[in-house]
Amino acid sequence: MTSRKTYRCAGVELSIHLNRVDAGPPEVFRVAIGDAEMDIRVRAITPDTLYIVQDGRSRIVHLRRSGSQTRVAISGRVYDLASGEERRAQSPVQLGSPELRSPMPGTILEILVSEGQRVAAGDDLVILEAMKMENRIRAELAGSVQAVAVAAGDRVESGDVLVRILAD
Amino acid sequence: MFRRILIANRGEIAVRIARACRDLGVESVAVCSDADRDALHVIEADRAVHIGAAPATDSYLRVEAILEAAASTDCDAVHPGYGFLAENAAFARAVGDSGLVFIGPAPLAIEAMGDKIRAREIAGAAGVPLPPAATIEGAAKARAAGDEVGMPLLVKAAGGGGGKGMRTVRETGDLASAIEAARREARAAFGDDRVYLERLVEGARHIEIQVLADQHGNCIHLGERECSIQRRHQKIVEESPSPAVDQRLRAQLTTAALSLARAVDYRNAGTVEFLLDGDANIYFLEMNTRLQVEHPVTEWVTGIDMVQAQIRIAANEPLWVRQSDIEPRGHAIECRLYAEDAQRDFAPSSAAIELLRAPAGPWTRFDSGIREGFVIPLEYDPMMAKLSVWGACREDARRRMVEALRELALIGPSSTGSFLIDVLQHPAFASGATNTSFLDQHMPSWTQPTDDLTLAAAVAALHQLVNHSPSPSTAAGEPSPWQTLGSWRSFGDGGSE
Repeated sequence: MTSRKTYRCAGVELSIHLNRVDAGPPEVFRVAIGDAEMDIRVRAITPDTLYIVQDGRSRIVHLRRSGSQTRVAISGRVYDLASGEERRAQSPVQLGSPELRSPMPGTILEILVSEGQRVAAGDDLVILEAMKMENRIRAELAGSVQAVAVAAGDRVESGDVLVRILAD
Repeated sequence: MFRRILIANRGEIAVRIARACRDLGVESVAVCSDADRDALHVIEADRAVHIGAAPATDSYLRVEAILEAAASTDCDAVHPGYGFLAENAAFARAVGDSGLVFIGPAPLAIEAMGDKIRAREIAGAAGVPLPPAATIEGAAKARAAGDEVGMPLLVKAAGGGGGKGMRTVRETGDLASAIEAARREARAAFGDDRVYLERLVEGARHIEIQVLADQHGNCIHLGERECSIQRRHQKIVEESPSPAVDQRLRAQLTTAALSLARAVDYRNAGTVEFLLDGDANIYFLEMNTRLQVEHPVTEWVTGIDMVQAQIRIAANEPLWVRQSDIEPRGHAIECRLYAEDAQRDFAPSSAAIELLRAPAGPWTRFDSGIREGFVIPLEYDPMMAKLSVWGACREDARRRMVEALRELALIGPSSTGSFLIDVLQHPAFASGATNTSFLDQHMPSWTQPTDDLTLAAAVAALHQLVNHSPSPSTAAGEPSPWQTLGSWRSFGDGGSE
């Protein structure tokens, strides 16, 4: 039985070929990722926690799955993996986007620009208060302000559009 | 000793205080907002009183509601923790006026040290070395004050510390806008928009002295902590002792700290903060008239429970240790775990804790305010927990901390844990070459290493195929909970508000 999966994480695309080579217990999977091949011995401790042995080394791995996203905690780091098939569904804020979106939930303290105003990449556009800190939201590209979508005092969620820029 | 203590705080410090109460055989009462009804501190205290809506101004900063909660539960003392009302002299006074004991210094000492401009004057008069500074009267005088202090400088809030209302200025042209931003932030944080300018001592270390004074005239120090690793002027790694402080310097620092404490007739636990420059000059920064976040490192090396000490001093016990009894042993390090994304300028991250496995093992301590299913509220400081370790020497503690951070599993909001592994492993940190610009200098644009990325992807892929077999105890036929439960969900999946 061969199974294939594609994940994206931190701009890297990982293509995985998977074979169960021993039904166990413990089960053993042969995994090929690019040029690398490894055998992983697995025992499920809970639905979210796997005990694995790879290259003779024991590890505890925790996972949480929601939709196309799987977060894997190994050795103090969490890897956020998006399934290849649905990766477009939840692309984060685009770099250099004409739509400046809020990177975090918070309250708009001040709008520093008005419609029609010229801005350069890196200019402060909006001051957002979140968790007691002032955060300056900067333009990602040069252009003119097409629309300001929020007002001082507005409460915004992560991903809400704050300002639209008409790029040069 | 008190019968019942009201904890006027939330998060890990409220949990910490509840534990100290338990150890002393004193009952504890938590207060909570709408966002915290089932928070860990509510669970850990003996009882809890709801005091208002999620925004701090509607709950944890409401003096009346807190006093009412203390009265309705028949408390005889109030512990303010840190932050919120901890350095609010009016609150300390109101607690006393209601016939309760405030577990902290007298209102006069809070007032004197809370006004950072006055604190500088008192410290100067007590012989404590000060960095050059100037106050600003009116916008027009800003430039002159800036010239007087010299560049680079810091704009600092007179009304309080903790990195709020603070701005770095390197060029005179940026001074006016920095003052304006600092004023706005200071007004929001402290209700006081006075700011002053202070020379920025570059490449300095942040060193602070822990002071403990009873109500019978005894005043001792518990050595120093170094807290140089900071982002946004806020500490993220702390240790004791400092690798840069020798006996001579320690004597100078502790003498200065004790003379300031005596000058304001200080009682209870307090901390005097200094900068230490490359030429071994020390400069007074401020005195914090409360328990510090990083008190565990002092507890590790001295064996003194700081929160119990605060409670016993407030209950009028004379100090049970003398200065000569304090012999710090070994080395302790603390790392703060914030719900922040270190890859995105430490942007706060509000989300549910989906999975949490705390590290364990010898000399490893996890002070936490979170639990699985809890949603980190947007309304408060995003610190989730503190991890601290002790070792026989600094290198021993440093290695133990790296292993403890690796053992920690936290899925949900972004966390500073992964970033801190790399801070602790940096050769400059390992060699003790730390200063307040450390993160800008050594880790200006950190991205998470991908060492285990392929393994993570492999495990994610096989997770869907793996056989979740019944455990041996239920093999006889009864399905195990793992089989019937399906995938787990967090309890609190609602967003904030």
